[in-house]
Amino acid sequence: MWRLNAVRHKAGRQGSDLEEFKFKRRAHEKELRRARKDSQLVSKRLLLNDDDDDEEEDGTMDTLASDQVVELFKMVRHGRDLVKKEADLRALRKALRSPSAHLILIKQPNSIAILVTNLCGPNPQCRLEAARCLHELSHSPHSEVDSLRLRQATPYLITFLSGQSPKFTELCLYTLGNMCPDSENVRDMLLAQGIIPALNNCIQIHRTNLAVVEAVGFTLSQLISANYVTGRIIPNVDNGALVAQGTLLRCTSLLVTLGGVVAKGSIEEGMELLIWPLLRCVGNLLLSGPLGALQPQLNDSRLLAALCAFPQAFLQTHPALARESVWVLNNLTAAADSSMFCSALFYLNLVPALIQLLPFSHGINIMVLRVLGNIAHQGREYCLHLAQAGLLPALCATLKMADPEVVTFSLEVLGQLMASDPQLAEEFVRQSGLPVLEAIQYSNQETIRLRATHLLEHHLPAHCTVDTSASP
Amino acid sequence: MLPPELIQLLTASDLVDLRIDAIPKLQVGFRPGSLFSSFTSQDGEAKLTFTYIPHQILLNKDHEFFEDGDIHRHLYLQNLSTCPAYDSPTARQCGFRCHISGCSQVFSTVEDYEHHYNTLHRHVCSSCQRSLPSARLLDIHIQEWHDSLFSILAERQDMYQCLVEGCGLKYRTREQRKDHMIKIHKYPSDFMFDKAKRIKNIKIAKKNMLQKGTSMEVSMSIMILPQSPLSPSSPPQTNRDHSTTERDTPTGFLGRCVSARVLSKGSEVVAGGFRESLKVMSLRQDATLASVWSGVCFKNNIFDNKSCLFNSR
Repeated sequence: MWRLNAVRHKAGRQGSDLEEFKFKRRAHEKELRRARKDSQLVSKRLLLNDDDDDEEEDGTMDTLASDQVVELFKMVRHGRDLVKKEADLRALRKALRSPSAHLILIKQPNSIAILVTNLCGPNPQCRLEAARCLHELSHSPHSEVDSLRLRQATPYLITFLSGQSPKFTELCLYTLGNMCPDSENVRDMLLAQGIIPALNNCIQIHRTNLAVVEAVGFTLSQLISANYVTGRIIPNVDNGALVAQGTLLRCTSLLVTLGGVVAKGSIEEGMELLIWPLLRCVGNLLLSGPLGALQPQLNDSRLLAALCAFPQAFLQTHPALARESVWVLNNLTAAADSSMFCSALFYLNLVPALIQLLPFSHGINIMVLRVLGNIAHQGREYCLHLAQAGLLPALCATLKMADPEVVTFSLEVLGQLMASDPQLAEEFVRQSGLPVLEAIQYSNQETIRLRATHLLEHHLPAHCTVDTSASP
Repeated sequence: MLPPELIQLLTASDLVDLRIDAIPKLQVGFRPGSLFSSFTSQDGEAKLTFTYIPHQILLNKDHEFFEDGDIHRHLYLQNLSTCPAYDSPTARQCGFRCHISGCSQVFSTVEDYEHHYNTLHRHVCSSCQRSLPSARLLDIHIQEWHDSLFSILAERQDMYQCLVEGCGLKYRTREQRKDHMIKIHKYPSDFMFDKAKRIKNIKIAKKNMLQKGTSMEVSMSIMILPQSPLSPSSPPQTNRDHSTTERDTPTGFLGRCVSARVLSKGSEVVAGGFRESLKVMSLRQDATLASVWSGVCFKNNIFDNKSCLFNSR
């Protein structure tokens, strides 16, 4: 998130290129979606350097010709004067901004070895520039510039994770992180070279430096995110162990804090990037044991308020986040011993906020209907409270919606309400719900027809009783 | 944007008791037995009608539920998420669809849907308030259920017509017609061929109406006023009992009582084509005119003792 301002600044300056940028971005998004469907969604990060901006203004960011690159490299290789070497390395690093230079460089004999020498050399500036060169290479789009080629550097990069310079450490982290997804061999190598203890060390040393901590997080997530890895890096940690360490408590507290920020209206850009993984953790951790056992970590009622606030706040910008937030509510209200949470939703008057989400698609209304169905299943008292919160007129509207799944779920919830108390059936009729039910009796979906018919035949109020015995 | 109590709750000071286990728990009940109904499916199995059971949902990290969030994250990682005109998917409001089989028109607002439905599908039998999807089915319904002549004729001739428009075949019994529609026209066996009519409990209906206030009482007295030229002198048997028992509210009245052919235009009808409409109405629906028009007058505030109700004919 600390990079957002830098990148935005750059994007804004492109002016007429903005349309092209948007077009590229949309195309890129399509690619990402396709990659995800193939379980190939992987990203590498490229750190931007402070002096990149200056160059664009000067116009000195021209792609160097290949012989110029070779020339630069030769000077780095043979140079003795450290000040000059630093300048040459910097020039080389800038040249590597353009991917074509990558191929040229790796064709030079011992190119990586030379960079590694400088990485460990006496001059801190040369180290930095050498690290930046390696970083550019780790981000290369060319398959020839793969991690195997860069493997000479990894033991050093890992060692430097325990170093004291945050800037340098950050570079090493992202370089290693970029290398992780390339292949199983690379990952095995990194593990063997002790990357995990090094990461642990790093986060201890630099725990107050947010940029470094974020980088550690990135590298670790890259290590873990491959599918086959879980056996070896994380020794079959089941969620119960995570919960025992207080993970659920920590995540829910964070969500509450973020809920407070949202409530004050001071949502910062990028905040959703934090809320998202927290919701997912909590959502799945809720299944790690009976809810009663987890309850001590879930005792802050503001958690429910936060889960209702996020959809309201992010509905227009990130509807998927709204949907995931309601998913967590489903997991809180669907368990055998969820009555406490369902009661709390009424006590805190949070149900109307949920009902307001019913007009919205993207899976949001289905998830909300699940939550409402969970609450209704608790019993008559809960159904009466749902009606008090205004659910019946809202169901009259959802029953008319185009999505048959929405209609079916609505009928399920309505069925619970009407069967729990005849008052509610009366109220439904008063809300002009009867013609709606009659209309959907003629639906072409059997699931809808059956439910609607059952309700009409068995749960209508007394002054609309069916007499099947009479004939004209 | 957020409701104020939500804001208050999230920004509450630590002095407030926020513990969930301190909140009084509502009493838990049992799942109502009446929802345990089952039906026989096409392959002969007994299946439950209502199937939803609350359950927690565990989602694998690769699940498509998480796709949008993952894409957003990766765009950020690749420094692509901060384009000033970032067009992320916005929440869409769900559209509305007409559920009448064979119609399936889609609407973006509920008003459009209601207009469509009221115009095309609102064919309600004035006798038993059965709602039929089309004028033709309404006619057939009235003929089969509310016409005493029909049952006499049906003893000797084939009177039960096929419900499919253009078919024209008639059958001696309902069952035969149903078989024909299933075999020849491929209708599902649970289609609403012949739904029984509804008989209303007179006492409770009256009680409900009185509770609405004096306006309904007056309306009621109009309905049973013997001097009204519109009150049925010799109404068809089946209709008399129903004429006094209608309605909940004047508006509900309007919507439910008369065929859409006549009253879909509401007050315009009253103002303009009043007499015309009376002629258009079928004989069978005459008996309930009194109740209908008093309701119409009510809705349109033209009620007085010398109202059009008495001057119309």
